[in-house]
This record gives sequence, C-alpha cells and structure tokens, in this order.
Amino acid sequence: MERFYVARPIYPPLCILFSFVMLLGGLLVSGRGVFPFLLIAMALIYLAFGYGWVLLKCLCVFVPLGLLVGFISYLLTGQETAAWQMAGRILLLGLCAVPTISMPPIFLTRSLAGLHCPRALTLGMLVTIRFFPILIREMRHILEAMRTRGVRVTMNPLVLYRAFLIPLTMRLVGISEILSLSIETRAFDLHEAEQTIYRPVRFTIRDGVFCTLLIVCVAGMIAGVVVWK
Amino acid sequence: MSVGVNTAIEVRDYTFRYPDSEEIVLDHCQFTLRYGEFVLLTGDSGSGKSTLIAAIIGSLTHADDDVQARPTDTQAGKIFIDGLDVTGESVSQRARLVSAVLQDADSQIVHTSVEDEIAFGCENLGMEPEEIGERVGRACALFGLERTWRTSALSGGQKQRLITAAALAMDRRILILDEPLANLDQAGAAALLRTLAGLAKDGYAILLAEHRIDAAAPYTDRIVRLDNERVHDNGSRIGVRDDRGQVRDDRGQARADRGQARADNDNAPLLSARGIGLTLGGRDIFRDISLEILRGERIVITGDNGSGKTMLLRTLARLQKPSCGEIVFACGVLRQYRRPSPAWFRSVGYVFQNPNVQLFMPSVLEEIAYGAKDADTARHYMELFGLSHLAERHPHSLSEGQKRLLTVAAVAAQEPQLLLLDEPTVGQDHAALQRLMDVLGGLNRDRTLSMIMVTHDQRCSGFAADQKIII
Repeated sequence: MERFYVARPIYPPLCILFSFVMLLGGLLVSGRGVFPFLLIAMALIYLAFGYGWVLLKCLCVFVPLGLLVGFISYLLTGQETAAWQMAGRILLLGLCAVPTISMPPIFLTRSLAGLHCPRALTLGMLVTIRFFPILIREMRHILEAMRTRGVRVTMNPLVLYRAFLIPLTMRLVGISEILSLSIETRAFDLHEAEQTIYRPVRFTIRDGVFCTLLIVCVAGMIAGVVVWK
Repeated sequence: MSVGVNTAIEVRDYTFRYPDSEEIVLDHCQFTLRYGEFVLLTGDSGSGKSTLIAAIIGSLTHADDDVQARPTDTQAGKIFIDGLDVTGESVSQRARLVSAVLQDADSQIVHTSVEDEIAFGCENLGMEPEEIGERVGRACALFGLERTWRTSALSGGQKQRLITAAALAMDRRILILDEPLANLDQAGAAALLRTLAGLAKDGYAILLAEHRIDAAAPYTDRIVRLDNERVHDNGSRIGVRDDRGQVRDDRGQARADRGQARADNDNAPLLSARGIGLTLGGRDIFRDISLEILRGERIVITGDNGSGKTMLLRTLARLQKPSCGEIVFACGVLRQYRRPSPAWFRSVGYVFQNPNVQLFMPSVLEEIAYGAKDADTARHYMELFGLSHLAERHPHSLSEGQKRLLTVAAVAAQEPQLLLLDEPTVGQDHAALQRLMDVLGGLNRDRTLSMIMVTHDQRCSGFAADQKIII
C-alpha cells in the first residue's frame, strides 16, 4: 500500500466522507446521463490535488476490471447500456478508493486523535492497517522457506496445514505478542490522558477547497438528475 | 528493608516458574543496578536473561480487566524500580520509569516511517512536539537513520537500530536492552556501546543482556552472570573472561583442504557469480559483485547494516533474480527466468535469518528427518548439532537460539553441496557458537561442503574463511 501514499493527503475524515458520498451518489445516478460527467469531475479533482499518479495506477486496475465485468454483464443480459453502466460502476468504485488508499495510516490516526477519538480505537486501527502488509510479507517468506526445505505447498489440505498454516499461525501469534509488548514498553496506556500528537493533522484551506468541490459535485449530481429526468 | 537512594533497580529474592511447569526459571534472584552503572547481564542460552528482563519490565505478570498487573502463584519476591515496589504495576506504567529494547526488532515496528516510530514513545509520554522533533533528530543522527525512510524498506540491522533509537529517545533514566547487538554491524555496535557508556557516566542506569561479551565487556562497569537459575554478581569483570574469547580457529587445516580441493577439482568452481547487481524500487541494493566458490571452500560475507548482504545471499540462492550479471553453478549458466526446483534446493541449502519460517514438523527429530535421506542420517545430524535431548520437543517451543541451530541442522541433513547461512550465530552463547562452528568446520572437511555465511558476529572472525567479502 505504501506505493500509493501521496505527500500531501487531504484531511482524512474528509477523504472518507468524500469517498462515501461519491460512491453512494454515483451509484444512485449510475443509470443517468450525468454519470460519465461525474466520473470525469472526480478525475479532474484528483489531478488538481496531486493524486494523478495514484489515479493512473487505479485506472490501470479498474478500467480492465470494469470492461471485463461489463462484458460479462452484456453476455448475461444482452443489453449494451447495462454493460456500460456496470463498467462505470466498477470504475466509480476504483475512483472512490483513490483518496483513502493514498492516505498514510498515521494521518488518519493522528487526525482522529485530534478529534479526541479514543486511543484504543486509533492505535487499533493503525495496527490493523499495518498488519495486512505484514501478513502478506510473512506468507511470502513462509512459501519461500518451504521451497528451500523441498516442500511444494499445494492445496492438499495436509500439506497446506503442516507446511503453511502452522508456521504462519505461529509467526502471526509471535508478532502480535511482541508488537503488543513493544507498544506497552513505549508507555502506551489506554487510561493516560497526557499523550501528545507529534505532527497534528489539521483542516487547512486546501481541505476547504476540496470540501467545496465535493459540495459542487453533489449539487451537480442533483441538478443532473433533475435535468436528465 | 529500604531501597538505597542511588538504586535504580533492585530484584529482591525473586523466584519464577512458568504456569503449568515445575521447572524453576529464576530461583531467589538477588540483583541490584545503581544509577551511573553500566551492567552486562550474561549467561548461557535459556539461562533466564530474557525472563529476568521480562520480570523487571512487568511482562511476566498477568493483567486483569482493569489493566492492573498482579503477581501470580508462579512467582515470589519483590522488584523495586527507582525505589518503588512495582508489584501490581502494568508494563506501560513501568515504562514511565524504564525504557526497554526487546528482542526481534522486526516484529516491534508499529509505524510506516522512521520519524513516526521514534516519536511514538515520546508522544505517549506527553512530550511537546518541538521536543519530540529534537529527540527524533538526535536519535536519527546517532544511529545513522533518515527521518523519511520507510520502515518496511529497512534491513534487519537497521530495524534493530530503529527500535533502539526509539527507546533512547524516550530518555528514561533506566535503560534495559535485550540483545541489541544481535544484528548490528561492528561500527553500529561500537557506536551504541559508546553511547550507553556515556549515558552511564551521566548518571543513567544501563542493563544490557548480551551474548557478544567480547564486544560489550570493555564498555561495561560490571558483569553479572545468570547460571543455574541464580545470579552470580561478583561486582567486577574478573571471573568471566573465559567467555570473552573468540571461537577457535582451524584456519591452517582449512587452507590445506582448500589447496587440496583446488587440485582435486581442477579449478572448476562450484558456483561463480560475475558482475551481479540488484536494483529494487530504483535503489541499488548491491552492484558489480563477482565471486566464486570451490568445492570445500568457505566464504564469510560482512558489511554495514543495509549494505545488501542478505539480498546477495538470496540472489545466489536464486530466491531473488539479479538485475544484471550472471551466476554459473557447476555445470552451466543458470537460466534466470526459471524458478528453482526442489532439486536445486537439495544442492543448495539455505538457512534463513529468521528460523521461525523454516520450521514446520511436529518434533525436532521429524524436522531434521524431513530432508535427510534416512532416519539414521537424521539421528546423526541431531547428535552432531547437540539436539538429541530435544528430539521430541515441538520446534516452535524451543528458544530462538535453539531454533536457529535446528534450522541449520535440518538444512545440513539434506546434505547439500553448498550451504548458504544468513546470520546463523544470533542468539548463540559462546559454547553453542563454538559447537556450531566446530560442526560446520567438520562438515566442511569431511564432506567438502562449501559454505557462504553472512554474519556481523566478530566472535566468528576466527572461523576459517577462505575468502572474506565486505560489501
């Protein structure tokens, strides 16, 4: 995920709100003529706010995926319009993910901490997000290690259990135990009120402009629905 | 009985055994650490060093729903930190008095950037952002780290530096470190030890648990040895010097063998790498490295943390495709686009830095027997590596040092032509290390087994390497 991070992310709660509103609104208008304009507007907003590189990476995944799903839809329904709408919905999903996947987790947790969210929640969220890459890395290491021991990990349940699930489980349990102890030895305490935030994440004018564009997009969707009625 | 004003830590008549076990790990321990002292805690693998540290930082106690730690019936005695009886205090409460660096740096990292990781403890202590910034800067300068580096891109040694930097940045007057030199290069280890000695002079209390006595002892004020569950504190460094030496050298024999090997093999190398390089994410990991190894030769690879030693070993093992150059193994150029087969790994044994990922069988004997040609061979290797008394134990129940020894035994039992070892000496006490080097030396002589070993451990500099490569 780190390859998606941008240098200056938008205020994290706003990113989440943006993604949620655009996904919901986009799905509601996906059958209308305003829908392609909505997708274009989102792409332009991303480009203006420094998300161009992430946008390109997302398009590389979601355009082919959308076309594939659209094609399957066409095969099932025989309707060309429905197929394009389905492809558009997949593309919408990818576009809505751009601001959230490009946000370093520490930005999210620090902004939530600034909003006085419980530290158990913010740190839990941070560790959970960090755990996915660790899980993938450990799986890769174990598969490599088994190859060096002459084991070919297959879908055979016995081999899978013995040579993959057991080492993976042991490793994950070990990491969880050490990680929680590491957090505690660094004076993390749920009941302590004196923690500070090293780099507070605050709402800036740039975020305000982004928020305004969000409102314009929502207004545009409503207007579009009325015009294309 | 009161605790002295100058006493940082006092362990008073402390006894501990694990629940569901009758074995006493610490038996009526008496130990005192004063402010201004730098104490080296040593002892054999499994002697209870980490357990004593866990008892001091509070991770041996059980926490109830109110996150209040309480003593259990498996322990007795008192521990005082800074004059306070810490019985009943949680780990995080004790962390306000003591900074601790634990083993396995890789598993302790929470954040994605070096700066955030170092700042984390300071944030928890309620320091002002400006002060945190200064501390982060100082810690980074001290340990050769960049604030902006991604933690996922760090090498094992750099992760160890990071975790140590994070603990030092918290600036507690009492510091406990559990094997912090394990993955550090020589310069990094010396810099850390100098810093700790300087802190002790400034009045800090430092407790260092370490196997690398040769490296640490010159900087410390006192050496405490854990032996037979008891602490032997003679108040000086005299009496432990026998442990401080390097492993025995069989260089002369090896050089003679090498000459014989060259003659026998008509100078045909077993493996030859020509101008290999590796670039990942636009960064040169290593470049233009050429080496060759004959049958029966030994190569030791050393270098600074992050210099690409492990990646070089992975490249030689074909776990990583080189960006340039070529590798020739015995009878021809390796086809880089083909994945190595299980047969390849029978010829080229690879021991990972982390033993936990290579162990998968239900007992030590079965683990070694998996790759061995028959049961007798498995038993032979188990005895050779001194693991017979652990034959029925589950591999994941062993100590880290024992697990590492087991992975070397299991891979060696496959009887490869070339053995690649990534930091096999971490967590080994002097006796275990001597045994490991003796066994590897024996395999090298008797089976003309070729070896390439990556290590930072200066205790192994006497291990008869035909070539020493520094990258």
